Amino acid sequence: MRREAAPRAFPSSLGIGIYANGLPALRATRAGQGHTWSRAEGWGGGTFIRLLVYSFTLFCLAVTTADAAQPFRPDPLKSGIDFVGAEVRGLQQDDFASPAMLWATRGEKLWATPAGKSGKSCASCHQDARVSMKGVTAKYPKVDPGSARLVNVEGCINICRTRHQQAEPLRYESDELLSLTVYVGLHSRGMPMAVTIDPQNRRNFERGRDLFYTRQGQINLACTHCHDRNFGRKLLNDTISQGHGNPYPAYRLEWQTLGSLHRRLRACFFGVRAEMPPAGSQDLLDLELFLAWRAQGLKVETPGVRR
Amino acid sequence: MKPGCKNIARRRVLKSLAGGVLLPAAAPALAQMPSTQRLPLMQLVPVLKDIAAGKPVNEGKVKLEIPHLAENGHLVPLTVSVESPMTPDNHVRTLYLFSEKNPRPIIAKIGMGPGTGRAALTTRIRLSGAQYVVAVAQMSDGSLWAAAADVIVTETACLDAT
Amino acid sequence: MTVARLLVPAQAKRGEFVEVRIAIQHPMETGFRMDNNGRVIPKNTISNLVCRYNGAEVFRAEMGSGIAANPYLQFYFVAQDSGKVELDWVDDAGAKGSASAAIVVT
Repeated sequence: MRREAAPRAFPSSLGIGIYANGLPALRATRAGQGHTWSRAEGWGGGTFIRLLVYSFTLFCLAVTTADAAQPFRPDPLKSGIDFVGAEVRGLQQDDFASPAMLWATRGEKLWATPAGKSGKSCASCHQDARVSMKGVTAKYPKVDPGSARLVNVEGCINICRTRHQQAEPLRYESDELLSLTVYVGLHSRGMPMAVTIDPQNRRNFERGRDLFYTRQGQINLACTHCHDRNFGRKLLNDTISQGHGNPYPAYRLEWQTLGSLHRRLRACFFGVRAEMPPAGSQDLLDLELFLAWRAQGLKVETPGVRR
Repeated sequence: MKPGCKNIARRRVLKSLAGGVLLPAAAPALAQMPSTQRLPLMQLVPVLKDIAAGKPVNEGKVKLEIPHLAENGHLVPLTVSVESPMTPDNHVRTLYLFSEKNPRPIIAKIGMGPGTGRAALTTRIRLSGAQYVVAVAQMSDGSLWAAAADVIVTETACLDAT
Repeated sequence: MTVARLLVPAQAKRGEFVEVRIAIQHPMETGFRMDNNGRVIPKNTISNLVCRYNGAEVFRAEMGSGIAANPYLQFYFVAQDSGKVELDWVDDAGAKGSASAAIVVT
């Protein structure tokens, strides 16, 4: 369970991640040269070997920049539910006891409620959500062909509202939007997360990845420090999870209500005393895409329960 | 700190040790002592005085199931059940749930009757900090029966201001 | 919109203990929290919930800030005749809610 070393494939990309975010350029060079210097000394400092090593380092850097080396993924993948206690697990496993299911019940009602000038409900176009929404959440976030922007399920619901229902978009984190998102997600429950990275969303993926590996805030930690290197270990009485988004929107005991993945991510930003990006912002969407890629194969648990 | 119970428990152990009982013999004595016994209920929950109105509060008949270590004080699952035939002449009339340290000591007051059939309730409570939870059943004859449980409440490690 | 989920088995045998499960979407405001402007959010909890079976009260709960948000209750009643299980509740703000289910007793 303990992970001492930094992810193997990562040192160079870590450097680039920091560089790309406008932090000291020195870090990029240091990350590349750290081991080459020590080795070069060991070999007696021959100019030819040194040149060889330099060019190899540059080559490595070039390769990682061009191809974005495969970032580290925890192995084996473990859902956050494996890191919580029996009571919380019991709440998630019992559909009636789970407080999150209240939102699903409400979402089911909203699905059939007409909205906007069109007088259409979700069901008018998508009919039975049990059929039409099967597996949908597992494939999000996705690039919306109409606007060529990355959207998550929440964003997609709002696109439907403005484009097809001629209704006002729902406020992020509002009860209505959460309820509909949960109801859509419910039909992907138990299916493996299956986002695809293609040329259309590669730029978003890379930005999300860089954000995941960038140190933030006064506490100066990146997501990777807790969720890649220290999962399974204790933070006070908490067990650190691998940081997957598969149960969201989820009911958190701490919130005493249901919340979106973006709310959870904002809480992490606050945790390291960094500026919190607004819910629904590009930063969080890109991070959501990276997290979805990182959790590929893990089962969707929407709506989950967490402490 | 609950000066009453902890000190009394410690004193009992010390006394038994002083009486020439060896340590291995003292250990089972400690284990046999259920947490509900010898608790100064009236001190834990002063409101109980108003409800008891001079009558004794007996320990027993009530079973309180609650996790000893709660992961978050905002939601702690709990089950209370009372041994009672629930007939018209002998049933649980009222079931009270008290907390020792919440700002409002009465968590819930449950009305029951012969129609309830089985005197049991499962719900979820809030606890502000580690403390005792006390369940008191008032029977149809007016007698009071109680059970208490010690709950340690932990909090999440990361601050959340969202 | 109040959302509540009620679970009562559709059928039961006479004399059997029937389990009732109810979950209500409600913040159960304690009255100790403040909003972003530092004003106290007034206490608002479901103060009273009554369960009637064929018109007769079988269970009643008076709840306060000590009950967790989105309250959940699980209790029993004795099956006697086919009929209706009705739950009614009211919160401190005066908002009322209800849920009901039919039961066939054999």
